[in-house]
Amino acid sequence: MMDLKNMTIEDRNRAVAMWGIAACVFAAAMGWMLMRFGISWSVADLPESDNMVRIIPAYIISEIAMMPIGAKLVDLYGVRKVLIFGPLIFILGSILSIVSLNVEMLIAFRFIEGIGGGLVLGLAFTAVGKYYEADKRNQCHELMTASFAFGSLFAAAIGYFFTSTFNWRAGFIMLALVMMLGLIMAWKLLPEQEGTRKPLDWTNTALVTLLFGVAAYYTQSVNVDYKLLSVESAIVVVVIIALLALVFWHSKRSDDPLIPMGITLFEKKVIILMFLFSMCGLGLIQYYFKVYLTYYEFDIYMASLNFLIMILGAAVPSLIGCKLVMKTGIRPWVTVGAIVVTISLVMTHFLASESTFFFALCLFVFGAGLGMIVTELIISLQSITPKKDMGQHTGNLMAVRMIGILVGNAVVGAYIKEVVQGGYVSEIIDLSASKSILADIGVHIANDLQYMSSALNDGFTVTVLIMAVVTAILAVVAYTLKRFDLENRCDE
Amino acid sequence: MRVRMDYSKRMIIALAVVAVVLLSSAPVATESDADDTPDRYGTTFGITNSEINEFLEKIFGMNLKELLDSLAKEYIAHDVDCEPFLGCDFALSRDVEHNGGMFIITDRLSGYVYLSNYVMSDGKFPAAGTYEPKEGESTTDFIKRLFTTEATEQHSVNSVLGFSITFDLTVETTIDAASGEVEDVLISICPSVSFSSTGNFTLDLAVDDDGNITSITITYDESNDVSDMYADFQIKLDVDDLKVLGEGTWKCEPVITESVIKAVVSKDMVGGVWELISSQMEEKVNSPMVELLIEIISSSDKKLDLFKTIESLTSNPIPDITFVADAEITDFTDEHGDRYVIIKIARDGGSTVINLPMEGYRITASDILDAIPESVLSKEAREIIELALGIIGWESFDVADITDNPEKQQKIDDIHEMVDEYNKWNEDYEFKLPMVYLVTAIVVAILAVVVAALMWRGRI
Repeated sequence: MMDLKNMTIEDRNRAVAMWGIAACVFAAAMGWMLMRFGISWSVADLPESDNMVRIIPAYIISEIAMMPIGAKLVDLYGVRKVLIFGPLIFILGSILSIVSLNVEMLIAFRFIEGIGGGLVLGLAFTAVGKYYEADKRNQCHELMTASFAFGSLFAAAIGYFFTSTFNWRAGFIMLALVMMLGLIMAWKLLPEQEGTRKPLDWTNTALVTLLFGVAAYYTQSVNVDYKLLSVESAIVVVVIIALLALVFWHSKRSDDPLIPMGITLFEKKVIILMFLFSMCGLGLIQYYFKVYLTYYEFDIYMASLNFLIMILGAAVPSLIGCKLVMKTGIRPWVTVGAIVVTISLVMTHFLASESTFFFALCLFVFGAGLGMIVTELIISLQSITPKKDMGQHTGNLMAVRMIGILVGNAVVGAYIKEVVQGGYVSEIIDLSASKSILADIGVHIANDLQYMSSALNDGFTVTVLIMAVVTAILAVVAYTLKRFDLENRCDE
Repeated sequence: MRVRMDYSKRMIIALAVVAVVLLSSAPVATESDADDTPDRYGTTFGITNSEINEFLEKIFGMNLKELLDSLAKEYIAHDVDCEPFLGCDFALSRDVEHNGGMFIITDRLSGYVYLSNYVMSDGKFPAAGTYEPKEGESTTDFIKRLFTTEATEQHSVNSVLGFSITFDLTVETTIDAASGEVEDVLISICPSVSFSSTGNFTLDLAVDDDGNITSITITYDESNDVSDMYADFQIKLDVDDLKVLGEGTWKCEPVITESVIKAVVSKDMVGGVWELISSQMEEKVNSPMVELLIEIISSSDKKLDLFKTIESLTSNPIPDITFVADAEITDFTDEHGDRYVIIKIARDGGSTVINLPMEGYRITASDILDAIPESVLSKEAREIIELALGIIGWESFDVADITDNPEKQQKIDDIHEMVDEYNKWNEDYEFKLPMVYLVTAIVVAILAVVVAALMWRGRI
């Protein structure tokens, strides 16, 4: 893709089309986090509503639920057919969001936008597998991963910029335009590619969509509507387990299910590793952001700059890893990557609160570890997957990755909330000893804010240590992957 | 004409103190009828345009219009047409209900002060620009020089000024009739200061810490400035061990837990409130979160809830505050047969005494002014205000039993309702979809349809 001189026109067109799809991925990833920072302030020009907390989840739930369908439809009808629907639904949702008159309308339109976003994300990573041979997918996958990372990591700062400079609606205009640009680039240059044309198993599709939707809903409602350890939480978990059993039962009986059945032990391990790394790694990223904001300085741009350091840390190992993974197999990369992530988490525990330099250093090492894992796992899985089933396997892996991120987020969130609220000891103002009650109240509130910053940091540093133990175990699991992906390559 | 309102926040604090003093003197009934009809106490006080003119005539020998004309002649050296208007009405009420073994006592002080003035003048004025007093020049001489010697340009200026203060404080106290202990107190406080100026003449005064004018900036552009300081706090106090019904003298160690239900502030208010709290602190608190919070709220036209905004930024609510105190409480009957509960709270090196009358009560202006800290109201200002209050007949407030006085009740209700409406208007946000975004959305939609159609027909 980079060697432009030796490229044929078809290769060049395909490469540019991939940049178009990457632009779509960037917009879809941004949609996820665009207004995450101070939502009640962001949409302050809408009438007050208790449903404000649903604005972010509305997009996340529909996006994750639609990801496996987006990928599966690529298998059935080809990339271009799905390409026209995903981005257009996203653009429609964005336009409607711009003209929202109240919070409830915005929630509904964000849900529609998420449907488009989910189709795009499912399609994008599958398209790489469809258009490129196994040993040429690395750069394209890096492009998609980088677009996703930039979109999701910088969305908060970009959203803050748009809201403080213009209006939150301006952010949606940008999303719609970026998506449209990506769509035109990809559609114009992407070669036609036929799918299997098999009929879609609607029941199975509905069940899988419901399963991922409910799982995503759970991650968004726990800590908000109910506690992690509560009856409501248990009921939703039971529903998820029941749905999972139902999906498996139905998929075994389906001719062409949405999730792959009868997969190898290697693929099972890859899925589990992707889930747990997403949970312990990617799921923590948001808290690195929050800790920086509350512990160091409440400057959203500086906090986002730290992500740039993390991406820089990830860049070199990812470039090398993705290039060599087809020669060495996944095992060394994920094993070493897991060890580096473990080291970075231990470093975070001991050093992150020392200074902003150490905080950034921890993020750099953390990024380096993740750079050896995430994209390599996708490339490895696709290397053993026949092109005709690329969407089924990739879509499933991507949705699992997203659920992993959200579970990590929810678990860390629940723990930190417990630390913040459980460890709070109210300072008592003794009126008999107080010189100025107003001053004492002011100091008290300031101390509370200070406490929340410290408690968030304390909760986070304990959590990363637990996550470090998990990633150390994952390093061992990764070592057991052997050379399956090299010995079972599926070159077509 | 626009003048900076450096003292607005002090006015709000002074009003809050006055209200707290008035309501802390509110009676705690012990002998309320155990039926559905609440006992009602209350009074109103206010001042009309003609009363203020009478008051000014007593002091200066001329009414408000004449006074302004005379000031204009003294300082501007030519005629100024002006139409000043002043209105002020306050209501102080108290409803006592006996419900399910609980006394529910609702005390409310609400009212407004409104001042407007239309000014028009033709003549020589200073050129637009910034002017500073000369070395050793007094503020009076500086203003005089500015509008006489420096007045070199012919201008026709007009300006409509509006200034209003609205205040609303409600305290709902629930007392367990059997134990005589306070259960909880709901406090709702809603102050606002609004200043508007429309016209073709702007006067910006820069004032130093001592209140001396350091510079005056004059412009002759059409302007419409509105400064809107508004806050609406609802606070709940859960009280333990504060017995207020009994006979003799008893000791209590009350524990009061404060939780904020609502803390809505306007963007013009938020910085001032924090500045005021900070100014009271011995050590400055540099919290980046506070800085960001002020920035965020200041950037929005909508009045935002401080605590909800913090929660949405940190995912954690602000914890409650607990107060403890040592109190000695005495049941007391004065020479007129009026009964009180006197709460003596031990303070650093002394004590604070709160008198809670049982029935109708009377409070003097000096009682109120004494309670305002000197940092808010200087000794000299206090003396002048006390004198002025005496002249307009506000030297004391008699909150009498008005249960059988429907006319008085109606007057009180009218003022409360007027303030209710004003508060509602202040917080009701008029939603408008910005036209630029509507148009952009339509353009993007058309673009998307065109792109889709071209793609469908294979033109792209």
